[in-house]
Amino acid sequence: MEKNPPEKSPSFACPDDKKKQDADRSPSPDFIAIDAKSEGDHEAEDREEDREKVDEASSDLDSSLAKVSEEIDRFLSTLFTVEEKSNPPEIPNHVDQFCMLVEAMIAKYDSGEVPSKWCQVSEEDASLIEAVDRISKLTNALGEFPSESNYVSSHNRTSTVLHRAMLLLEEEFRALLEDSRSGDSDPGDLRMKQPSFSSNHEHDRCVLPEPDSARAVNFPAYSPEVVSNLNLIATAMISASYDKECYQVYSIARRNAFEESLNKLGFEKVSIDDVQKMQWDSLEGEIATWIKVFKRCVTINFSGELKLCEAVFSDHPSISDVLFIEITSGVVLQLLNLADAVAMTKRSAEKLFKILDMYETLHDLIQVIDSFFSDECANKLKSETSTARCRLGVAAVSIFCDLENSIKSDTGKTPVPGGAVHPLTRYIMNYLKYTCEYKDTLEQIFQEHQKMEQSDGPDAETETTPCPYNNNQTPKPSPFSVQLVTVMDLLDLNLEVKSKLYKDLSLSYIFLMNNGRYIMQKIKGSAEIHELMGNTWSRKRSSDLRQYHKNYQRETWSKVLGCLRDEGLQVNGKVSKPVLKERFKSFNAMFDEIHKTQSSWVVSDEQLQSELRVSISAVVIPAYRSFLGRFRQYLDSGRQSEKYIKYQPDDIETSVDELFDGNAMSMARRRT
Amino acid sequence: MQRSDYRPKGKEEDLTETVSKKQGGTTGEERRAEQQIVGEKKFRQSSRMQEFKRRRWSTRPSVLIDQSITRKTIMTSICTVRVSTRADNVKGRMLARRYVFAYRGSSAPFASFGRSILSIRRDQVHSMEGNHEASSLELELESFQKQVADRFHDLSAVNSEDLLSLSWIRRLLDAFICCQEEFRVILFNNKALLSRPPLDRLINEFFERSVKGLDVCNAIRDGIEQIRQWQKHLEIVLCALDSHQRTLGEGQFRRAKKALIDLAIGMLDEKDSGSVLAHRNRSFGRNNTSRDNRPPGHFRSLSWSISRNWSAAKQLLAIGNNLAAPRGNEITATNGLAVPVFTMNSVLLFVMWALVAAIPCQDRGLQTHFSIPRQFIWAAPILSLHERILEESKKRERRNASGLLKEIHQIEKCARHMTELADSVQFPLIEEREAEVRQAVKELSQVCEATKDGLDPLERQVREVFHRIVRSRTEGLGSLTRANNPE
Repeated sequence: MEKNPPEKSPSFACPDDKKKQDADRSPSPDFIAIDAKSEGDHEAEDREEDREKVDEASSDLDSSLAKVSEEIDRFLSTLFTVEEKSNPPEIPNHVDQFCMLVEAMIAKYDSGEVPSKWCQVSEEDASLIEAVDRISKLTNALGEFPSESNYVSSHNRTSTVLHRAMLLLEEEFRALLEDSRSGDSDPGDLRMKQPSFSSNHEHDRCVLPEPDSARAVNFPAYSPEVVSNLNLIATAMISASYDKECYQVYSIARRNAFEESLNKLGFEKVSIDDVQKMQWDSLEGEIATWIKVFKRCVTINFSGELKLCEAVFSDHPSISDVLFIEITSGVVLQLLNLADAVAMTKRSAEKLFKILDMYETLHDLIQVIDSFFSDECANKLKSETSTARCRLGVAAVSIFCDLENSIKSDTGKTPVPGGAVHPLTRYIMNYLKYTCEYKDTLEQIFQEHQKMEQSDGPDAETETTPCPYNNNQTPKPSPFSVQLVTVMDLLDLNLEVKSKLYKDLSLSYIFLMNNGRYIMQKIKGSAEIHELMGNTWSRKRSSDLRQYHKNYQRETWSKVLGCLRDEGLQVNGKVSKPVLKERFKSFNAMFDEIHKTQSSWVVSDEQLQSELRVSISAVVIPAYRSFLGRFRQYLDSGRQSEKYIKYQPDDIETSVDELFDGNAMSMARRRT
Repeated sequence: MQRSDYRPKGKEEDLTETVSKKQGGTTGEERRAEQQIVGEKKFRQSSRMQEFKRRRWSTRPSVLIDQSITRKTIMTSICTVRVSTRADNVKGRMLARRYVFAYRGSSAPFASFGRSILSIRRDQVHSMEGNHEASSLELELESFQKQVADRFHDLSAVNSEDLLSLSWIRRLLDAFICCQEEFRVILFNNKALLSRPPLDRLINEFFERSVKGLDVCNAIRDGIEQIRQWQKHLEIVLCALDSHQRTLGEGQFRRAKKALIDLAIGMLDEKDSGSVLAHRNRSFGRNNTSRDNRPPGHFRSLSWSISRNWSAAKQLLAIGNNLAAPRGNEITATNGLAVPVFTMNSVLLFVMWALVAAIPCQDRGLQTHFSIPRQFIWAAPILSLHERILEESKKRERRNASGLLKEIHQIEKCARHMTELADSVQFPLIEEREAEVRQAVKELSQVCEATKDGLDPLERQVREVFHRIVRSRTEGLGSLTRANNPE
């Protein structure tokens, strides 16, 4: 505002002319047009008069003001002591003089002659405020004598001057609110823009807010000088009973400023309908901004706004409360709108995490609502916030429970080649791992949801609590962990069905082992899931896995080992060569076949792979070695022995180490 | 969930069983009499149920209302209302025919309603076996039609003084909430049918429309806030010309006049929102040149929840888009449920339209077309209300109003009167004039009080409508997905 051109016309005039034009143009209710015109005319006349008065009065303005003020004060004190309203004293000439002086001061402001314009409290500002206070008292005092025509006409005069002063103050108040914010830029900028403290700064008159944290976070970004001026004007307007105008200007200006600050952070209002149509990627972006904005409001903006209210209306704490609520509760409702809209979008798995983020954000808000808002308003906002949060919770529960459906509906008939980890297992486990990063929140959501269901449900008492305490030590499992176990059980069930798709029983065990191991590893990798699933469950899983392992061994290797048994080799107490040859032949054939097929099978978990190989070697190699040791002698050395003893024990080990490589070619290479 | 789970286990079934056992041995005449008793009993029970539910929600605070129609209640109501899911073609055709009768039987008084329907049926059912099973669904749907019609008959009985008053709007919203709740119960009771085409599509469309209604609710909430802003101008007028002031001086009149101008500018309803914003800016006092140089976007509306390019008129068009009465085959294929869906769609559209008509909001427009066939028993009251409101909007003094709410009109009238008075006064003020001013102030303060008292409950109710729509949609979509993914 210091940029105002000096030739600027008095500010009264232009808006009124504008108003007139606008009013004439618009098809508005006719009372406006009439009014605007007449008001404009009035003001124009006044302005002319003002000009003359300014010229007359400005010369001895400063010197006479002090003297006249004294006279006025004296007159006021006599008026206060008048007991008989019907017989008041004569009105001194000073009243008229004083009015002229005040008008001259106002005119000076209007013409832009006062350069600093409230960026700091100058001497002139202070004397204007003082004069306004005096004229307000004078107006009230004169108004006490409605039957005295002199008094009535003086009252007309002073009240008009008072009104003009108030218009000026109102305008200055708004200008300060709107223009002297340094924006949300860095604090250094703020200092630069404001003029430095002047020597006549009136510390005693204004309550300076300590700009400690406000300076750091820079919201709402008014310098202390501006705040003290705002306080000065507000106090003057309120004491002259122009409080409503003051509140109105303040409320509008701050609301706009607050909203602007949200826009600067990238927040845009979106209708619920639009949110439903939005692509998830762009909605995700909106949500990210929303969270940022919300957090900022909760941590910075609300407290900044509250401080500003308290500083500007320091003498009227109840008003500052009301204004603060007016300014911020709309913001809260606006922000909640997106939460409502998102909770209503089509459910899908990928939305869970953002929804949980939003849920947590609202949770944070509920925690601090009481510290910002007074009881009644806090309750309203709290209930709105809880409702929105509850909706997000319901959405989260339903998305999470929808995992069940996505598992159930995964009924593909093509087995994964090589018995490898199924994509469904990967998907579900990784999803659960992410989900469990929100463990505490989800626990809370499910708890709340269960409470809701129970209070809703038809037979909550009888059925939904199947004796949770079998002994006193085991607490009832949380509803979330119950759901998690349900999902895991469903996954197991699904995998079992899928394992049946393999014609080779051994391969189906490998498949189960692979998936089981993957699940175990994921659970071990996440403390949260591990805790939720519990040790018992993990032990059960491990023993299942061991069982699969055993089954595999039995299925693949028992026949092979059968070839290496002593039984049946001896005919009439002697080792039968043909039977022995047959045994070697079939061992070789079986082993070749197993090597060929199972080296194409996949065990990607290294540990599992080596466990399998070790366990196979541990069974097969000693048996083979001892078989070889005992019966090799019965074969003729040379060609025959080479023909039947295809593998040395070391070869077996090498071959076993090639199993589960997922490499169908390994055998072919070896053969050549 | 299997429908059979919901089969009544109490006396109701016993009675029905006796009836069906009897059927073999009794004459047709007796059987029909029995049927009638059963039918009426069920009908009474279900309407008692609804009465009960209505009382429940109306007496509980809004947070509790969220759960007030608890599953328990609905479960119980399911037990009283037997629903048949088996719809063979014959019955379907029957249904379609019967609904047309239902619309036409508009003049039948409530008590005899059930009977008259049954007697119509008597001619048609005659030799058809097993048809009595369907009766409770049919009765449920017929009773819904009747309820909606009754509510809107009540609303349309309003005199022109009270039409579009705050209290009338609140009654309108009450009616909406009741209809919505009954509709919700119908959906709940017939979950199994919802996922079958074409009903699934119809229901999905309804929910899409209702989501659009949510934005209207938000815009209306902003509109209410706007009226509150106007009130603040009026309060300044009242404060300036307060009765406690012994002398009304020129300054006070100037103060009042400024507030009145600000009010008038604030109340302008202009299509061009840019100029409205410019006005609004000025409405808070004088301008100075520095402010005129600003980009126009600097002064935003006070709307909180609605984006800047949102338009109430477009939203209403979107709600009404493709809304058509169900065809006979659609009614047949949905066991008649297409009818309440259409009913609720129309109620939604009308209520949202009326809200937009009454309350200021962004880009109002009342060109929405209502195509409701007259044979629906609720069509007449809704269409007549629509016509009356439209007429109101065309009245000369209301044509440029930013909302047709009666209280807004009163504010306008009072403000105009006040402005005229303030303009005509001369100082010193003569006694006669002063008395006139004081009288006008009194009137203004009464209007102010009345509006103030009505806005808060209205705002709460609009919010309640919002919550109800959300809840009903969540439930409805929930049961649609659940039906698609059976356990």
